[in-house]
Amino acid sequence: MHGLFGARRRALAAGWLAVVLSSLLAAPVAAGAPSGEALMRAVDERDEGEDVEWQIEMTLIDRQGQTRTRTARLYRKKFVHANQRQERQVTVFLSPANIRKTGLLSFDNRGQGSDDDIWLYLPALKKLRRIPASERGDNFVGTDFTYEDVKGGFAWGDYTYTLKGEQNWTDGGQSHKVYALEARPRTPALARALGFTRTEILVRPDVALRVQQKFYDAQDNLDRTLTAYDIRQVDGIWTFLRLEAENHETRHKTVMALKSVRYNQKLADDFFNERTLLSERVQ
Amino acid sequence: VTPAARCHLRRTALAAALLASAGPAAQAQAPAQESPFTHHVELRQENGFYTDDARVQTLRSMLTADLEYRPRPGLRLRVVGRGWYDWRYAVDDDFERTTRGEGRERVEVRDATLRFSWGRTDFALGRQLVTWGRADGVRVLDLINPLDLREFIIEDHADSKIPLWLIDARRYFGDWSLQVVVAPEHGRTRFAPRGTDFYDAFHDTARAEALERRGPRRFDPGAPDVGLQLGGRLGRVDVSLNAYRGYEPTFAVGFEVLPAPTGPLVRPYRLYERVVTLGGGFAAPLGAWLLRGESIVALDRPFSVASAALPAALAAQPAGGGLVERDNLVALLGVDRSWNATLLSAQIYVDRAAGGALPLERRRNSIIGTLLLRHEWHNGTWRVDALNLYDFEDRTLLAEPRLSYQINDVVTASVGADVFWARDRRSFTGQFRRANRLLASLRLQK
Repeated sequence: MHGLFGARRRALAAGWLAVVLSSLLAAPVAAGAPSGEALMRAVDERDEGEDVEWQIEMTLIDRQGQTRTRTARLYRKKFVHANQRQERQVTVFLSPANIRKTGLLSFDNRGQGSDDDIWLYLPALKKLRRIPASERGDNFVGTDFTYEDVKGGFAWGDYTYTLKGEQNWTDGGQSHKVYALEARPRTPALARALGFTRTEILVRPDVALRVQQKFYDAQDNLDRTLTAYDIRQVDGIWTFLRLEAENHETRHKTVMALKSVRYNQKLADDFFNERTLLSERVQ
Repeated sequence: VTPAARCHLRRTALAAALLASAGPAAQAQAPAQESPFTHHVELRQENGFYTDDARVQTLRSMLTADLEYRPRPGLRLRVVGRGWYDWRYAVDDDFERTTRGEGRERVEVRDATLRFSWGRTDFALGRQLVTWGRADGVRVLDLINPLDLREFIIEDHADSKIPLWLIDARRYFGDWSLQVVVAPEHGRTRFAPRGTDFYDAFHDTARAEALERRGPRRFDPGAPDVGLQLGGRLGRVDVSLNAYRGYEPTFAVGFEVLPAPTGPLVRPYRLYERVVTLGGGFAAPLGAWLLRGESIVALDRPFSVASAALPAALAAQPAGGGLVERDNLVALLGVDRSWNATLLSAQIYVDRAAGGALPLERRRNSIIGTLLLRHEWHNGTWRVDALNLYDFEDRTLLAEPRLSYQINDVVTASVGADVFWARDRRSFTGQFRRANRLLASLRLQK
């Protein structure tokens, strides 16, 4: 197995994409704006590096304003296996003490058309246990994020799109043009797995990033809002440094702050296997 | 603190110091480290109350300290110590007299290991747990660490495994690994002493433990127990093959025939026999379900025969102690399913001894079903666990529901119950059927 794209090829592809998108976006929406599918494909294929390491701090805020904090390291790398795309991810919790060293190893087999493979490491028992694949819309370890939210890329092929228009989006005192579009899961089964029936997405075309996504349930009630802030270039790659997820039903919110982001560290392929969890080498 | 516990602590500290001075260079593969020292403390207060006869079961204060030193990437020294005092003994003089303070306090080292990497091989030397099995509530592949059954109804099942001094080396080949475990310490199952709540009258362990012991010394570097595990993935299926050659942690009672003036004298003894065990496990995704299983065959495991068959067994093989050797199959099949914050897991466990001419002392065929339901809500602030075990042969049910609430990042409170239901009180689990209890605990982790 090897990394999917070389960093240079990815940078070239991203540059080409930006040129095409910019030329398209200069035109009015009604007269030649990119399709929703093209926009989201660009989001999926944008340069995210060969591999990435995040050190994250997740603050969980309940409706009374009480907070709980979790810190973790998250590593992600893209692989190609028999010409099929696979993304592997290692998440190790650093705090609080009751989940310290607990780890998750996951293989995203979306490119192979099958469910994820997930292993949970429980340090008190020294037990690495295979667990059933979660639904993509299931909450990620008690936060308001879903497993789908914390994966890289965007499964653009799973949706149909309607481009709604363009508007301005302000982040860090700067205004940016964004496209508004609506996406619906292609099948009822996909909608069940994802946990929503439609989603409204705001995309910044200049960086090919979603800045906000609203999710609606089967009764078309606003269920959840995901918002990205503080978008900057890190190691030449556009990156959000803060991501918020708000559950409108429970009025619970999770703020994920990226305390450290490192791309293209040439993480070894075999870093993404059970050894990393069993040896408790991440701290 | 008993003299034995003090001796144990001294031995652990000495070994840890020796191990620390002997660590070879390690390959730097981990991310940059921050502080080489980390320490964590857990304070737990467990309170149990027997409902059948309205009395306190435990008022235990438990302190666990976890110290870790990482002088460089890939090299790690860790010591985890734990001590407790049970205040029940201070409030119940009768109990103190009956049990001579057994279980009043305990100090133990749960982990004292030096871990380092050498290329693609990871080593762990010291006192530790080795986990092979993945089952909930029952054990099949977990062959290495013996169990502490002095209190087998406990809040945290991880606490029932007894750590051993051993060497654990694991070589990785991509998604596969070969693990070799060499244990010079021969661990034995700890049974509850007579007079304590979980004394096993069914097996009369106190009487048996008073018998002459025949087996290995506790530490015997010249004849260690050895385990091998080859694990990896075939497609999306996790598989493992296991082999273990080691002394049984539990004894079989044998009989020696001695000549005497009044006729042959039969003297019982307890025997710890070395057995070869072969096994394996798998976990396979089936859509949203996970199918998993594990199985072992213990070859020629010694069993006691029924008392009526003892003369025949001794006559057939006088040096055999009246024991017969049978292959013993233990297998488990389970399915898991998870959906938003909920896990459902069901298992079926089968234990079968091969047949033979002579009947065994106790039935060696059992079927146990387990059902685990876990659900979290309010973003994991509340959590319910319900583990249920049903023995189809004994018709015995044990249900362990637990409800926990995470007050903040440090404090977790939980309440629960252990509920027995047994048709036959003379069965193994039936003897504990009056052990129904309510549990309340508070855990601080920092």
